[in-house]
Amino acid sequence: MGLVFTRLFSSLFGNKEARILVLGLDNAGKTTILYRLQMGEVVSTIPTIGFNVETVQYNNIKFQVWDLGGQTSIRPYWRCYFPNTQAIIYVVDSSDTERLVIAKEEFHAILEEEELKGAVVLIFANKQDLPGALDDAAVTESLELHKIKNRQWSIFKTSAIKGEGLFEGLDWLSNTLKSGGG
Amino acid sequence: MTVCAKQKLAEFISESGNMCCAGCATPDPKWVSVRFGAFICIKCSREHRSLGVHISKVLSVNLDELTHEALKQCPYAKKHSNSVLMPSISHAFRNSWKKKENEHKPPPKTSNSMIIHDLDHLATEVCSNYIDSLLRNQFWERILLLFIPSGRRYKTQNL
Repeated sequence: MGLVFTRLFSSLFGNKEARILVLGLDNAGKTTILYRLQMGEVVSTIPTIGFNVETVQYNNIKFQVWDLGGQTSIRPYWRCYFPNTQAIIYVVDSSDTERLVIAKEEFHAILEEEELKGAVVLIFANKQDLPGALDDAAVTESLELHKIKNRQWSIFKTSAIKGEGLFEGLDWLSNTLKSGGG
Repeated sequence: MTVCAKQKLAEFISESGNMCCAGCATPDPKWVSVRFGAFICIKCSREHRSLGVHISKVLSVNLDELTHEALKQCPYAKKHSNSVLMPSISHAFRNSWKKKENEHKPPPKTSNSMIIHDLDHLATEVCSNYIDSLLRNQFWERILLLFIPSGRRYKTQNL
């Protein structure tokens, strides 16, 4: 009876938990986004060697957000974190146009992974505050997002420094997860 | 990383001027700003990364694949990048500061020649045009500060 009540309570008032991976090339802004979401502050970051993990409570969902280092030789270790992941936040430095091709390749390699088959994908076209940053439409084209099949995805223009777009993205993510995606 | 790029990187690292961080002089820097060709430590990479890749692009010596193309972007690495960049940039910064101070009074005739005399001639030649172009925009002063050790910043600004 107690168990039934607990389940009913959590379904009514929301106690859903979600495991989220924040991925992207080095210096895309993953760590800045994580701490902006968690503390609401801009922290200046050093390159992540390994990972950062924080819990972010938003829209009645407890997001366990894993921010993994993006340097070339540590990207192969991302796969160690793939099991039981409900969503991927893929962060792109929209001003780093030279490396968008690499960002695209890494992105589509992730989508191929069997363990992430059910994960929803949220793309942040980050660093919109910088001059020459591509907008969401241009990033969509560069990352060839139209090739995504059988998966819920969305892209948002963000600036982690200014705090723009992040929570709009998280709104989409929480609504998608609540409606059964991931 | 190709063999060629590896060799080039090893060559750069072994330069005596690149054995300490261009920002704070910490020995054995493991990061490189390929736009400046300056070797820096992980703590100084924080300020470089925050500027955006259009200004300073930071890669890891060990964890990133430094391509031949990326290493080609290091304009001064072969010429002891850190030792060339640091005095030249602080020199340029001093001059820019002096210019501002002297806007209200006539400049002494000997000031520039005295400062230039103190500097390595090669460093001045290699960097002066580059630095002048940077200094056209005041925004670059922020970047120049990256290469002046924090202990020296106060002194530099008060020259």
